[in-house]
Amino acid sequence: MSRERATLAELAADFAVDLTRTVRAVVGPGCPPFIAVTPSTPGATGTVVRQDPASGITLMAGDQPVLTLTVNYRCVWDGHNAYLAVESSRIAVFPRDAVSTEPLMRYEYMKDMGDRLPSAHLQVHGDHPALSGVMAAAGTGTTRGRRRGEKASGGKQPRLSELHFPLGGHRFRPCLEDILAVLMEEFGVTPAGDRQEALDALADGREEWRRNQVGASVRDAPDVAVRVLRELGYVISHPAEVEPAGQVHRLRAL
Amino acid sequence: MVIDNAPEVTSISMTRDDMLSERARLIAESGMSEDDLREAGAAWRLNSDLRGILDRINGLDFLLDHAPAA
Repeated sequence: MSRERATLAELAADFAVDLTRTVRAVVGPGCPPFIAVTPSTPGATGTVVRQDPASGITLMAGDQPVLTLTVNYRCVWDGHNAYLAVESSRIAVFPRDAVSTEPLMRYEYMKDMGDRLPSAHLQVHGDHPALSGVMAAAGTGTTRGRRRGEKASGGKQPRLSELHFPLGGHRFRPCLEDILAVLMEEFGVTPAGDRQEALDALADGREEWRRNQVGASVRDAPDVAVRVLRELGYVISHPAEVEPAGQVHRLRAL
Repeated sequence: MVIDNAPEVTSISMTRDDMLSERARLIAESGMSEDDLREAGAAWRLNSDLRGILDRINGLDFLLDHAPAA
């Protein structure tokens, strides 16, 4: 399949295959595949790649189910109508329903998050009274600080989950493989098969993700790519007299 | 709705009518009004099954926004 001829549905299906491979590395071959849902309408510009079931995948610690992982991606064409671009994504980790229906943490990405909050961010759910106190007293210099102060005056303390911890912006955010690896290390999530094989498979997926992101970063800053390649001995010729423009706004965005 | 079951992935192609029907079916399956479902979802009061239903509804809304009406 040539990239020039790939349809949105084909690209979404490829992405779903990659995600299925990643999750099966930990959960095992019995894990249902990701589903790519695309409108059949001519001119459709969006696609959804999500887990099956949408309620999430059970992660085990030994023989005990401990966590539920939910993953979804909403994608559109990139600016060149050549590749799939993630419009938004959410990777959330929940305890079992019997423990709580609130997530433990959420890794989220929103391409159009605005300029005040990070497009790629981590939200951690839990209680942290000292942090809540600091947040309530964060002053009135920002809209969010003002709102928090007003709520605190009304007796509603800010919650840890209201904080958006930045995760590297549009290009350098973590991938699903990173999160699964951390769940294995920090939460004792046990892969269905051999542990090292699971880690190797996650590393394969991580490498592919980062190679794709390197490519996207080159489009953001081709001048840097040209400089580094010349330093490595490559001979680079420009396609036109002018320097490639790049996408400086992507580099500067939170 | 066309379903193509490949070994590794399931691709689903939906018309706008498919999406609207599926959306209505999911809301009925939840046993709640859409407003109540969304309110409970925002407060993290939904169990995993209902969270899954709300996520699918939101996904369909995204697709409807990106599927031009004929």
